[in-house]
Amino acid sequence: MRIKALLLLSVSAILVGCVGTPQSLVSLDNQILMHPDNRIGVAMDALPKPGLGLPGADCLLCLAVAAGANSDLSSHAKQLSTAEVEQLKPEVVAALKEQGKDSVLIKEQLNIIKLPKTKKLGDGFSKRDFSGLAEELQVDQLLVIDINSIGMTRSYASYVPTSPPQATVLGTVFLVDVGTNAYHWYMPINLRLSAEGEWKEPPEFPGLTNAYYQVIEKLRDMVLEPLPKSPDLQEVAQ
Amino acid sequence: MRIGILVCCFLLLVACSSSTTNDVKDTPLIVEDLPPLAKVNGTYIVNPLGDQDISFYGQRMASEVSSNGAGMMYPGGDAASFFVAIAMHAAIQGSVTSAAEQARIEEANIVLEPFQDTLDSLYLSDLMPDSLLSNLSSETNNDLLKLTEGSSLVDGWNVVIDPVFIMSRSQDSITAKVIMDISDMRDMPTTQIKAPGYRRTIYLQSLPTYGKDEWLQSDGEKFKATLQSLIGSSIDLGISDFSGLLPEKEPSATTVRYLDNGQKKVERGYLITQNCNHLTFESLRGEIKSMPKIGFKDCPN
Repeated sequence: MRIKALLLLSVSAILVGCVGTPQSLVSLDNQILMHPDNRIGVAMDALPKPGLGLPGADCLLCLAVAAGANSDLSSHAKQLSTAEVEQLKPEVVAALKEQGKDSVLIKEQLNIIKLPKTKKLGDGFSKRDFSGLAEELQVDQLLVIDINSIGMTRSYASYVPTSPPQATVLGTVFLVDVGTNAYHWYMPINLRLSAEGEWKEPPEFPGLTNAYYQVIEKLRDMVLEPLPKSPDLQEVAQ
Repeated sequence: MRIGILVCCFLLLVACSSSTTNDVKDTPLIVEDLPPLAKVNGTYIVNPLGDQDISFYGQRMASEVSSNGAGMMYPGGDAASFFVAIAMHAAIQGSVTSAAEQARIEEANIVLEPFQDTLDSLYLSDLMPDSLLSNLSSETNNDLLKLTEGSSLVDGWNVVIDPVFIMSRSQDSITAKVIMDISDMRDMPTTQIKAPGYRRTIYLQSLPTYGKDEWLQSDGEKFKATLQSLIGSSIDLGISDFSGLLPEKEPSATTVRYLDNGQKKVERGYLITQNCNHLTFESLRGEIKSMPKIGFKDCPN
């Protein structure tokens, strides 16, 4: 009896330990961003290919049924362009340069998941160690656009769709100090949008295609709008 | 007796089977090959808009980008309760959706309240005076005529328009949604067997006005003038598209940003042309849209 209780206790302790606290939102620190001594690099993590996600279709047969029922949409989603997301990097660099801030466009895609883990730095710090990139990229701060999922999703309850498909972009945008791994901006991205009007318009799905590009535009606004404009720059200078 | 009845039946059946059937032969349609009509410098006969009320709606709220996924979870204890839950959800959802749809329309139409008196005094025919078409004719070098009652058929293009107007939620601009059909006048007697030659939906939005009271000043002069101008420009745009006078659309779709309801709106489309005030593009659904540009305020008057 005691052994069973101990076993249960240790399993629950392990499970609780596995649930990490999510990183809370950190507002953009414009003083750090615009500080003359800080060299800023603008980078992007490896961008996933767009596709159709079917959350909730959990069993193998459910997934096969859901994939079959949405095959037209799935092939269309795979053809969607991510060029406007990739364009964000030079747009950020241009926006910073416009404010007189010299910044570097990092052409190579980062592979954040391959970076070593940091040791329990806590909230406000990255779980991955960027310090190794400081010398290689010659930067003090990295502004990273990290997209984890892009395309369409349609939620299912086993075999049954429970909502119309939505355009989706999931990820994070952050400004990290490559020396200390401290976040000076951390913004989770979880954007979803349904089609305006009818969505079942194969093979081109114009309503959902519009929603997809509208979501990308929203991402663009979320990244570019917090960047300092001229009055902010004046405040920083003062 | 029985034999007699049998013989009678037999005779009757034989008589029926031997009766000759009148074969209905299709009369071959003689379709005369007419020389093609000129589209450029051609004659366009625009059908008059009747003495009907103007279809006017308030702009409805667009769905907004949300930051969480919405989905319905069904109880899955056993198959029966799972399917009962789905059926109940579908039944409830159906009635809720139609009621919500009606509520959304009514809510959107609230913006029309200040214009109700002006709208009540206007008919569609008021929006297309002869002067509008003659002005267009001189601008486009096309012979635009207004079809009058009892007029005989002529060699020309028959233009039929079906306009609907939408007032923006902020009451700053009016959009005309015009469905335009163009067909060869000479086909009219056989229109039942011919598909319409050209059909396009055209969206044309007026430049925003920043004083909402301006619409109704001087007995609604600006309001009426805007509606007339939207009709005229829609006809011009549709005929220019039909006759190939518009520039070639861009080969690939791009993200088009324009002003709608005082805010930036994004849509994917094929850019056709732009000037300082408006940009014109073909939407992914094949509609032609001419919308105010975001920076139109910087344009010289």
